Amino acid sequence: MSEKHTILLIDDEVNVLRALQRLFEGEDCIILTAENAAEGLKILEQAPVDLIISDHRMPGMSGLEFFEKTLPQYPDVIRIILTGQAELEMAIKAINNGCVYKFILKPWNNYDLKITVKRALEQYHLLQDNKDLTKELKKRDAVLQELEKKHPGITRMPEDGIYRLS
Amino acid sequence: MNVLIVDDKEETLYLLETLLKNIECDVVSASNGVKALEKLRAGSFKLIVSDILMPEMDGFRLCMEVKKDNKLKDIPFVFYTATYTDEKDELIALKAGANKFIRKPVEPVEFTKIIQSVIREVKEGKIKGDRPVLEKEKEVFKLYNQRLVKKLEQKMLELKESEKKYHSLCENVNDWIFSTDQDGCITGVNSRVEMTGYSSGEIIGKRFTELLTPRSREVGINFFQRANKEAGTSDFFEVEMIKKDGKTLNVEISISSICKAKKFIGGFGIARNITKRRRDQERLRASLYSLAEAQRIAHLGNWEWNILKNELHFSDEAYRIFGLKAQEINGSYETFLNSVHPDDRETVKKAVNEALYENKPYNVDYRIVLPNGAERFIHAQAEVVFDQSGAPVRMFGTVQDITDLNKTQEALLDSATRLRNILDNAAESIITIDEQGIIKSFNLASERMFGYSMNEVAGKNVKMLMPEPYRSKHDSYLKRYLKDSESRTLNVVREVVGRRKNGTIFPLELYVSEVRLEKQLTFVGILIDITKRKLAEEQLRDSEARFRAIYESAPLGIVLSDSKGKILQANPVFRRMLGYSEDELQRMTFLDLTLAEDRQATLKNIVDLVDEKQDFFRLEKRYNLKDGSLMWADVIVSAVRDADGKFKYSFGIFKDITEKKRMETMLIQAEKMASIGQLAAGIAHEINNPIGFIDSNLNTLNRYGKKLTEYIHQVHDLLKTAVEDDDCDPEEFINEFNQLSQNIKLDHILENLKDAIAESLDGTARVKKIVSDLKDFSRTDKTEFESADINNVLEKTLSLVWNELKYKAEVVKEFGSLPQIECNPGRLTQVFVNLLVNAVQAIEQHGVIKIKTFQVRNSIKVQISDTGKGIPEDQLGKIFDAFFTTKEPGKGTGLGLSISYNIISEHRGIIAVESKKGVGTTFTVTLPLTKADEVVKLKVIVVDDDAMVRESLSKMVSQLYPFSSVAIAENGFDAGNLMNLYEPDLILLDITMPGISGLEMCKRIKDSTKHRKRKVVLITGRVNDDMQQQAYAAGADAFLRKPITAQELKQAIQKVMAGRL
Repeated sequence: MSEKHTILLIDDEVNVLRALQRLFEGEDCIILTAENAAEGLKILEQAPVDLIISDHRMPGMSGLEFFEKTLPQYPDVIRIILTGQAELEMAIKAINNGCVYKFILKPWNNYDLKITVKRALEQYHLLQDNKDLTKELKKRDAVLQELEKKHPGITRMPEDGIYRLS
Repeated sequence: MNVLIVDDKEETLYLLETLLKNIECDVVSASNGVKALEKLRAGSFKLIVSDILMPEMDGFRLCMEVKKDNKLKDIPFVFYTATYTDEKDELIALKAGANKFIRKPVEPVEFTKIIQSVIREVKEGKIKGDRPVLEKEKEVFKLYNQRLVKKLEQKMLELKESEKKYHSLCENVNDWIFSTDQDGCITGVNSRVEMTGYSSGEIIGKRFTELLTPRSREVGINFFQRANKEAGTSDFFEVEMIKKDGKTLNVEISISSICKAKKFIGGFGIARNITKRRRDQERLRASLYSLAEAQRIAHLGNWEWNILKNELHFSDEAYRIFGLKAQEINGSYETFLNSVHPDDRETVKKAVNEALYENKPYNVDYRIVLPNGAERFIHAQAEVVFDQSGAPVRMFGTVQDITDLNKTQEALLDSATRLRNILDNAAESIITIDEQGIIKSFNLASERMFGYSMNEVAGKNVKMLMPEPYRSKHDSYLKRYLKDSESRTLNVVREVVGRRKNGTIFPLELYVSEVRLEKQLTFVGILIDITKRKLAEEQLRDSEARFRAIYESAPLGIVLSDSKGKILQANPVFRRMLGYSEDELQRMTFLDLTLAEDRQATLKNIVDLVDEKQDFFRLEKRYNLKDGSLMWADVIVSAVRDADGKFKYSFGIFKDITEKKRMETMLIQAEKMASIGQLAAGIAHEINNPIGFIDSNLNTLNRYGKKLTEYIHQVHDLLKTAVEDDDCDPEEFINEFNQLSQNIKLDHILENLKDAIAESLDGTARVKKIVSDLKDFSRTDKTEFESADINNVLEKTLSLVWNELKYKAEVVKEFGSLPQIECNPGRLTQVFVNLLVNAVQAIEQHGVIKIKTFQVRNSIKVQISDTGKGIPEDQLGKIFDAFFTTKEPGKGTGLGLSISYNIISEHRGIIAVESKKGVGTTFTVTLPLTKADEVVKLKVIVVDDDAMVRESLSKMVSQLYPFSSVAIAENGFDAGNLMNLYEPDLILLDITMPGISGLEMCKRIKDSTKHRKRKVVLITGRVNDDMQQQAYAAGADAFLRKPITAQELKQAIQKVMAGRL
């Protein structure tokens, strides 16, 4: 991970938040925690977040509802559900709505969770890089087109390699 | 096979239900046609068995409705009836579409047979429900039916009325009713037995004829002799009875035979105290006599007047009347006139002249004035003597002072009025006739009784009040009587028949006496309408016979017991149920038979019954059978009271429901498992959460461990280098050391290490708790009650359902301080789980669930309310029904509330619901408070080879500590086995037994680590002084010598169980 990632953890069980914090403490990332979905929303508004791990069954808004709600505004954030209850209905919904990257059951395996997060962040990183590059490319292309307008032919390389300025 | 039974009588339904269930039918019952139709439309039935006469909708109408309904018309329809027994009725029933017609009463066995054959025919298809009903006939039938129903409804009311009257015999009847066996020994009496001065207990078993005076006895003995010879004999006689205090009593007795299979099996008698009536009759006669006396009261004076000489002679009486002395009157017509009141002189003169010259009778009333000025009323009568020429010569006559007579007449009138009043106010009809049988008086009661008014009968012959053949015979009868006055019909009460104006004939009781008025013979007849009594007697006999049939053959135990629960009489079924003989039962009380756990409730109910706090009670309770097993019974006990409301005995009906209970227990367990399934997802979440972070923390701790190990090695190396290097710069060493610590973030690790361990421990505690709560809840059912705090039970329940609740509801707990109660916490948890899960399911979005506990006098209340959608009113009545559910298939068993209801009933509590649509629902569970600390529960084993001793000791223990359970063993070997299973607190151990002796046994107990704590009381029957020493040497906690009194046993138990009592 080349730069510091921000991970948001949401769970109504504080002990789970603390355990996850310890899990990620060695990694070069910023960990933010929220004890319910509403708190999570506030954090999202204040800081850029790359990845969210959320419990599903929580008082107030459920994890899935939270994800569905935030999808339009934060389409790129990677979403992981970490739940103690294997509810088929919920899993189907999570996958069909396309807003969940992974579906992890409690109790979780530290190693697996870490790897999953790492892969997800790499993917996020690649995606992000890809996006940045595309953006850069577009910018350059715009400059070139501008130049071509001013000096037609300037962007085309002549066969003999000599630019002739008129 | 599903059978619908329809009858408005609860007891018939119960009987039918029991009978049908015995032949493996599923029975649904309805109390009338309307309800039956509802049930028919709600379920599917293979057979309908219906009574005809019912309120709301009768059987005929029900049958027609069923046959009209396309969906129902194929169900075979069977009538059974006690009222419509005519063949025409059967025809109508069959026309209405019925398939079978059974007449009541039939013996239960016979009835079962008929029903079985009907069911067989239904199964074989011989009976098909669908039968065409003719339209025209239907119309006719309708009319006929309506008329009949109206008539019968009225009749039913009357019947019910009189039945009620007869059932509450003791309250309404003033007569003493008794029954005897064939030898005349009294077997049963009503409360009016008090007229004899004996209590029912004293009189039962006495020979009836012994109660009669020697001169009356013959009549009684005669009856029983005749009755034994000829079935159906009945008699009516007046006798003298000897009361307990020796006084005699005039009693009229109507006695009839109770026959079984045409054989005389006993007498049934009604005795009426007629001492008072006798007195009244005497009084009436005296009154009539005084009337005659009054008529004789008169004082007459006579006089003679010689007209020619004008000489007037007075008798002494006449002088006295005129207030004169004999010499004071000059003896002339004129002097006489002078005495007459001036105002009346003309009248007198005129009357005299008319008598003398016009040949008119002299009959005149006038006033005279006495010398002292007083006025008197005089009545005078006279006759005139004429000479040959027709001229008056002499006049003689009487004077009567009617001043007093006037008063007497008033008195006479008074007396007559009084008599009239007596007659008219008398409840009995009183009719007087003369020698010819002509009616002279006819009081109001007679008018009411016969429907004639006084005017219609006055002067007519009394025979008009009699039906034939008595009517034609009466004249000759009367003549015969007058000729032979020794005739026996007088002064004897007879049962005769009368005829009303409307032609109806009715039974009467007649008492005739004669009175002589002015030499005129008058017969006074006193009549009592005994229609109702006759009817009642008949119904009583009928009801007796029906009861007998049920008593002998219904599959129900029937027991009469006294106020202490002592069994007076038990039917064969009850004896078979419990396995005891009649003799054994009669030595027992219900408490002896009841399982220790159920004794308190039984005792309380019996006490309340005796104290009139309740008229009946119903319990499901357990009995110890003779073979040592348990029986669950559904018991209904009602009190029979005397006219003053005093408890006489109780009447109990017992139904064996052991099998039902076993099924129920299985059902409860199954429902519990289902609710665990429902909770499983939530519980998984509750467990997986802590496991998740515990596991994660352990991994982190592992990482810390590695880091710390590495750090320690590094520090070790650093130290080693420092020690080996003489030129070590301390400052550099410290820097390096700090660097090492910083490298692994030592402070951070140490801080986190502490937290991670603390949090993980918290997590394991949570997992442990939920697993143990779940285990408590799901373990195979314990049926025993234990002492528990309901708040605690609720807390445990909450931890099980917490996950179901917390996301949808805010849970508000308002726990009051509660005493411990005797309950089954596992089962109560099941109830509370049900109520809480229902509450949260009723909440659609988010709401509040409130759990409130508080104590109200002698009970604990638990209220669970939600702010959910509420239960629709039409479903409110069904929510406790089994298999009623509003949840979608697969989500609920429909048994939750039904089983909750049963569980709460088992705790003798109540579960109630209140709900408002859109507002919420509140369930209130009320549990009675039993002070756990007042109840001493001991588990005792009695070991003795003598059955009598075993029995008496175990009985003593049960009486001393009613909540204890006592097991018995015949020898040491059995006792040893029993001890392992039963875990007693106390062993009462006989020393001298075959096999292992009590001393040896005691030693073994005290040497065993497992049983050492159990208390042993050694008992001996031997008179051997060193036995006590040996007993204590063997480790006994106490020692007793036979015979043992309850007091001694109590002291010994108190001594050894000091810590417990």
